[in-house]
Amino acid sequence: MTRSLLAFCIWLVPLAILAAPNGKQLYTRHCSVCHNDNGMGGIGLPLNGEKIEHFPRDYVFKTIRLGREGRVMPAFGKLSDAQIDAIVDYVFSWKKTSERAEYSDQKITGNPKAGAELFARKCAACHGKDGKSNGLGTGVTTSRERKFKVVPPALNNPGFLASASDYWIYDTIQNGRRGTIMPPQKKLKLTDQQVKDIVSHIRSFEQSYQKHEALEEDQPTLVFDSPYDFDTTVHNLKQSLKGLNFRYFPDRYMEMGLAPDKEINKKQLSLRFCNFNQLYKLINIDPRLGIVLPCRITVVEQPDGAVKLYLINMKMAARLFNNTQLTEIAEQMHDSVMELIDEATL
Amino acid sequence: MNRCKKTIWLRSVLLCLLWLMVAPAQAENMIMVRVHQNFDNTMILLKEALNDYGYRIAHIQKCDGGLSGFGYKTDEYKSVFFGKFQEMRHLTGTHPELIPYLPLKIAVMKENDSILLAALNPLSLSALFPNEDLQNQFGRWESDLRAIFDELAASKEL
Repeated sequence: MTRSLLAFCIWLVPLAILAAPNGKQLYTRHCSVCHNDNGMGGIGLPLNGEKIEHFPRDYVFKTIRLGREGRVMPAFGKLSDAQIDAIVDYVFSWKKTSERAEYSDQKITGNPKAGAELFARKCAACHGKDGKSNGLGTGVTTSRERKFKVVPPALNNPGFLASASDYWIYDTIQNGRRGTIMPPQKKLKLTDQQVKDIVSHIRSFEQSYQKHEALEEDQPTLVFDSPYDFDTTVHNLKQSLKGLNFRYFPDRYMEMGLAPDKEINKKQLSLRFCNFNQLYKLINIDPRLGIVLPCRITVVEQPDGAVKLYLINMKMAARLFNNTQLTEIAEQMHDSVMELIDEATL
Repeated sequence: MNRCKKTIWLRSVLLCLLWLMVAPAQAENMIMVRVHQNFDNTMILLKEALNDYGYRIAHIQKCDGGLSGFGYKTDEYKSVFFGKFQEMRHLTGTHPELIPYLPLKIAVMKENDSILLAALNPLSLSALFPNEDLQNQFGRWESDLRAIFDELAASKEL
């Protein structure tokens, strides 16, 4: 009998842990690095105070599950429903009122064409004319200059539209959002029908979504052959960098700092370069960008004397950040660097 | 051990293993941690932790210095390049396609009263470089980075 009970308890321990996830622990592990301890906000939006007072539970749940494609917030597809529920419970424990915010799932019928015109006049200054937000990056990071105290959300986003019901959007326009600059309907001078028209317009963004598929030719590393010897290739690259307005840093051999100088391979040189104007813009979009910066081209002389250039495929690396704004700039950077390689290896 | 006992024991172990597999279910593109230290202390602790795991700091890129020098407002921000000499020499020889991703890198940035550390999750490279012999390497890096970040997150103020 005792043995059976013991065995039963052994079974129960992990089951109990699985059955009752700890919201605080889960929040600390998955969310606090961006949303800060106690939801004060950082790279991610603030989750405490007035801002989430009227957030419906379902909206927060779906936001965690689906994320915001192209807007830093990742989709937490591997968390169980119970784990997400526990996180939502923990976040909602910061609410000042125990009032439960619930909104109808009914569709709102409005005139999306009229809504588009109103959106351009009343909403686009903050949410962007295409609904993708006018604020660079997300959240409330105050460490750098910000146009908005809290970056206005991108409404034209599959994650947002799948999480927000029509009536939740309607309520937000009607009542504004306390703790942010989002004004209520009265201040926007909108009629009830006009609010519905705007909701219909926002909902119509869904029609333009296409599933992103990786291009077959995408390679994580770009490799180029140089027709020149090692020193000439390095010299050519520096000349091209200057010509394209990049600033390059002092030469560094790849193994430098990891072993005594006499042991390091001096035929593997990393040319690090930067355009500070662009760097500033990029880290305002996502401050974590340092994990792939500065731009680098590594020049390597092979044992047979042939010289190859290696660099990160910026277009592909940018996608790791789940940030459309970043991806667009990375594509421009990619083109500049291709031009640079062409010039240097011509 | 009789058969029944064995079965119960085995099932319990299996269940625990299952739980362990589910609990750290994460493979995000980035590994991040928030550290409640000042910037200088974080750098000291990071250096110590990297050394403890056999890595050496190759270089520290002062992104903040560069930006300030060009008149941009920025908080403290550094990129720490680190690695193991023999490991890097071996990998650049056998898998030159990894060259742009080496040495490994951690971005260290101030955010209000705390410090954020971010690194590319080495496991996210698995999909990009599917060679079988690299998978253990990515797994080791990932496990080291998580352990280092956990140590820093748990560190007491110096």
